[in-house]
Amino acid sequence: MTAALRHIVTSFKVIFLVLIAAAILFPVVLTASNSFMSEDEISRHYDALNSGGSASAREHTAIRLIPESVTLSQFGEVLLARPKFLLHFWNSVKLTLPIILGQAVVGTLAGFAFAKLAFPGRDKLFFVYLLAMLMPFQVTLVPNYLIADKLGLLNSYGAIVFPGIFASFGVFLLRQFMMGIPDAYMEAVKIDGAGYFRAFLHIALPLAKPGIAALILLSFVDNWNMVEQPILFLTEQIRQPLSVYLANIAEGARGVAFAASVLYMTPMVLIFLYGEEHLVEGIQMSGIKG
Amino acid sequence: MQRRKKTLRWMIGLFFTLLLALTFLSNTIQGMSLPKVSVEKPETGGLDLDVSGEGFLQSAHTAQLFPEGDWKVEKIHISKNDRVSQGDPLITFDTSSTKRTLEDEKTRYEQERIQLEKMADQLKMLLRSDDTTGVDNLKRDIEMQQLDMQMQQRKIGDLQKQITEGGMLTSPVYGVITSLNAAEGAAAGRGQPVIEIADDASGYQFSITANSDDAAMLRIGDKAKVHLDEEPRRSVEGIISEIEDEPEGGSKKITFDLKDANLQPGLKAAVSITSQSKSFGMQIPKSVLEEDNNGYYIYTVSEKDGPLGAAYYVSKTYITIKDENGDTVVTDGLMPNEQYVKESSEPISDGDRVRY
Repeated sequence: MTAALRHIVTSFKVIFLVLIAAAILFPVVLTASNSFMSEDEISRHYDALNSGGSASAREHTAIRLIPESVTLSQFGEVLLARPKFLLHFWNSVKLTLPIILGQAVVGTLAGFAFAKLAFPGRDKLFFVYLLAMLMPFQVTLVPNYLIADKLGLLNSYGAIVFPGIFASFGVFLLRQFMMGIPDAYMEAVKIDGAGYFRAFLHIALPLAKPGIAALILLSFVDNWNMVEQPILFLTEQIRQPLSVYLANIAEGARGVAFAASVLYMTPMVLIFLYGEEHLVEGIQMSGIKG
Repeated sequence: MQRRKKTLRWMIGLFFTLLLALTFLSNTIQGMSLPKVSVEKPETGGLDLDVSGEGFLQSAHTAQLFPEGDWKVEKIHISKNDRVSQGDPLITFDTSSTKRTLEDEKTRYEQERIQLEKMADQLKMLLRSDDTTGVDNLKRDIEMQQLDMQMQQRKIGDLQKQITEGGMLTSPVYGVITSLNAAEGAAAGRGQPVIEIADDASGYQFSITANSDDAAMLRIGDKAKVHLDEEPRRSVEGIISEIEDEPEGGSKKITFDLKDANLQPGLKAAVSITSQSKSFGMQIPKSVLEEDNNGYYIYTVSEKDGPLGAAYYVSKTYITIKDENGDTVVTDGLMPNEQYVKESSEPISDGDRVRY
């Protein structure tokens, strides 16, 4: 292949990727730019979409990227005038943080056991784990509900946090990751007289850092966005996380929906950017890159 | 790469700190933008019905005095608003014209007496003759003359009485002169009253206007203390004599009768009657009442545990009005401890969060 041809192919690839990226990024950009419109402007532009406007009005609703006048009024409204937004935000934090931390602890320990310890039935047990992971969580929702009911956890965060902590994905990810740690390291530590726990703490854990980071990132995104579990397990409106509240906010106040969405995305985007390299590294090393 | 991470770490920290701070301040911020209301607890009990007002005394009856004849006024002894007793001289008339008439009538009587004597002499002469017809005729003439003289005598008597009694107009009653239609030197006509006297004996009355609801408990015959605007101030007992609907509706005219010596027409009288309605319930000022298709309602304040601590909300509470007066209603449909909104800094509606 000549250099020129290679150049052309690369250009096409770039154009293709840019187009895909644009399609994926467009809603995000739209949300961000519209969050700087005034409530009034939002209502004028998008009212026809929601409030039973005529078909022709709906057809003529144009998507706008550039605000007529940039204003922070939506953010002001969301952050200052609606304490509910803040409440639901902290609800989300209260749900997500324990799950992530729990998953990291359980995932590392169990992953280490599955990867580096030889005990009878290990692979069979792991196979069960895989099965659980492969099942869509909607399938396990009903058993989860029944167990939560038996444990008296209904309408409490425990009903969501505990299944989250023991989710099989974390174990699977870190097991795969720790499989990549050479057995020679373990043997060396053993020869030096260290027990399993020491081996775990001083060898496996530092080496698994990128994997833990990747798990935290993926788990954060997953749990920050959860909708079904809170709706099912939490009956009280004021205990719902932001993800559920966000779906309702558009009904009452379309004008602030964009700002609320931007604020909703912000922690995810920031944390994702922060741990981006670990994520890539972690997934590559665990061998589940796809 | 390290710098980017540092920036991101800062941004994450900043974001969460900002939201934490806003959460901390959220009640304060919300509080500032909420409508401020002032609330009150309703008083329990019957409705105070307060009727009060002022009026000017008028006599119930006025005596009108007419002159006895068409005379000139010689002297007026009183002036308007004077208090007079029975028999007090009021006006002296110049009766000279009537006196002249009296003299004339007396003269005419004398003439007729002489004529009668003449007729008696003629009769004596005729009796001596045999003219029986002439005698009969003359006898009848004499009888007629005698009748004329009796009439003349009565006329004289009338005139004499007129002069003695009418020459001086005196007051027939105790009272106050309310009108004087005479001037010294001017003639007073027989047809119109020269003096009107407010008759003490008939009593005085005055009227006030009161809200119909407030006056609902008043009955004719009820007694009330009436304060008179006099120096020194004093009060007398008044009796309600009349309660009438005012033509414009919604109010009533209440008339009080006063029976007391030394009252003057035109005196300012004030009355204040406080009574209690029979209905028992919560008292609420009319100013806070609102009305919609479902009836009257007020806004009550309730405390709810909001997302971020306790919050106060207003809610519509429908009430039934049992009784009302000018500015207050008695109602039920309210708990004794419920607080109602008396005033708000902004218009409020059902379910609004407020501060107070």
